[in-house]
Amino acid sequence: MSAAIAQRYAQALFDAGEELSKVETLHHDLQKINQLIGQSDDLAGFLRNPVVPAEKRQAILKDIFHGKIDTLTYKFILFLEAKRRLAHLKSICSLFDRLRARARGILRAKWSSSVELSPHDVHALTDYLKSKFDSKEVEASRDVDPGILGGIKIQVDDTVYDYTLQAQLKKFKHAVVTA
Amino acid sequence: MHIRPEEITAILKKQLADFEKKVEVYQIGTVLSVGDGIARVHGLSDVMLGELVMFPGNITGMALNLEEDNVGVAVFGDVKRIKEGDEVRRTNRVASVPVGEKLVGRIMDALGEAIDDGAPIEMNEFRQIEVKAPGVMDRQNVHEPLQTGIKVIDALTPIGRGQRELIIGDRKTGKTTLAIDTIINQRGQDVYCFYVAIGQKRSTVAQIHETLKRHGAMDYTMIIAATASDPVAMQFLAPYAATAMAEYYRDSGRHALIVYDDLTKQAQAYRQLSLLLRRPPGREAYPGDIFYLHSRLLERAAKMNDKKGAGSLSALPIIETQAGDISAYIPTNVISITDGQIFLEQDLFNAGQRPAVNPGLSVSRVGGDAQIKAMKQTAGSLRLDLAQYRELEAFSQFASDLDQATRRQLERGQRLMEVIKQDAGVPLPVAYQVAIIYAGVNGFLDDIPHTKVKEFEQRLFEDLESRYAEFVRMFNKEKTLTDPAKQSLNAILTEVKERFALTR
Repeated sequence: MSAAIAQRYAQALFDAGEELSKVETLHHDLQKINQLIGQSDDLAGFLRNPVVPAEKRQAILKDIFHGKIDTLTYKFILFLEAKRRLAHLKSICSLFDRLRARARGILRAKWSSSVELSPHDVHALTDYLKSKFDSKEVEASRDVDPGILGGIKIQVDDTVYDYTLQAQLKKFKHAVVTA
Repeated sequence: MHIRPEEITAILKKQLADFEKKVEVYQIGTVLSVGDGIARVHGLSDVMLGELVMFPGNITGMALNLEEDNVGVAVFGDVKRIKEGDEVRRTNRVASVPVGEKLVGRIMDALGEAIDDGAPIEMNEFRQIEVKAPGVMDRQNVHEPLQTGIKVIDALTPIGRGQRELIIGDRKTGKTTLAIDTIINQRGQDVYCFYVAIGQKRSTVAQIHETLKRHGAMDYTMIIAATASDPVAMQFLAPYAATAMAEYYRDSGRHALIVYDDLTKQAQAYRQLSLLLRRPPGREAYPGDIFYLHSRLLERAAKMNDKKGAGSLSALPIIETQAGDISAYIPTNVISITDGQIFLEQDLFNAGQRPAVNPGLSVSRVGGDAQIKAMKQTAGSLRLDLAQYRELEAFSQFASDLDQATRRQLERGQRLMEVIKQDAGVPLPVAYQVAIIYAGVNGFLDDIPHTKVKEFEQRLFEDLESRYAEFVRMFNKEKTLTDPAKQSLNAILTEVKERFALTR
């Protein structure tokens, strides 16, 4: 239910952004807002709280956002307020991000390695993913996890490509024990 | 024996070489929420319905609800060890259980894991838990008898191999005993038996195992137990898992019998799962597909045709009623699915009429073809006599005011009611059953006081075992009451009666 609501608002905002060619600005703003909500429990609580009177909400929103974000984004937030859907702001942010990625052919990947990858390696990996998944751009979140011992683990959507030493050892152990 | 360390190293190296550069690809999801045996998982985008998924710590689960933004997973292990944010892995296989000859005599859970302290079960061959029932052309008419060894059932509601006969009654009316006696009677009949305990106490399961072992029935029986303390998903799954194991015998041309004890509990387990998965509740809060839950299970009981090996799977589902109400939701469902029912009554049970089968409400819709000829010849008038007796029973208090014919009918009925009494744990060979029922319906017992009928029966069986073993042998060969057979049976009964009168 809530996902359906967020999806609808995100799609509408994205379409509006496309028409006004403001998708990148919107993306930038929404990323920031998403981050902000993640960091500030007060903000998250305020967005979810249905008790605060309408005038007060508008005043608070004005104080927080006015002038700091694009007018389109600001208008959108006020619109959400009017429709009493502010609670969905966070999921709208992530859904917007996904819509943009799909429209722009951006591949979202996540990889973990045992040591920090050199820029050269990152470049090679990005190129490989681009060719493999036929996408124009790769946006990846990286993470260093010594626990995987060696190799690399790449996650694209729900699928994990596990090239790590840890997985190999586990598999090897399984094969030796059950053989 | 000579083993060089280099050889071992070489072997290990070779194994290791096979592993190099093999990427492991799997799909994952993240736990959103967990509780009440249900986990909601985000991701797992390509997961199949009924697929097994793996939580950290080797806890398995089964994907039951595929929704737009999450997957509802029934967890087979301890949900307390699963946290929000845990990674869930697909296994790419739908739930299946090990099958084969090695399972005989074991106690297993719904996933085919041994729970009897024995060696782990060798898992060579697997079968999917949920499969479609055999098609129309693969079946044939039920025509071989499945002897329960219980007089009243083999005479009035005979069960055939491949039939589904419901055992229904209130609590403590002898439902389980009836099923266990049937299993005990399959000794030496080449029928593999499965006892599925759903939502029962562990002590009860242990007790049943003990009973079966004492009668030597564990040589051909398997117990699948999802007890009251097991996760509710296991209780829902156990009958399907056991059926998959039994189908192995059916499809290899042998005979199997499966007892579901009881399907009421399974329906309740499924109701709990469905409500937790937020499926809409219907009548008595059961979900909409509760009928399908039982119909697809019981459809898998079948008599296969000769081309398919002529194997069979008979099912004895058990349903517990509340205060004799067979028109509640689940009882009516299962009555309409099965090929007949054995109705056990509290009043009869309390009056000492055990097994407490109500001959009026019990039917077998297909078993008639499977009944042996001699029994058909004998039992034909039994049903009628019993029905008339029940009608006249109310007048029995005024016995002195009744006319001769009515009184005779009452007395006949009384003796027949004695005849169909039987102790638990002593299933009878069909020859003995025919002999005593024949005696009852043909008036041999009319001049024996009805309190002495049991005693006479005992004497008759003893004599059939020793003095008249020849008759029993002949009977077992012919299985019909030919005229000479009838004459010798008449002679036997007269002789036994004479001796019985002397000793009294």
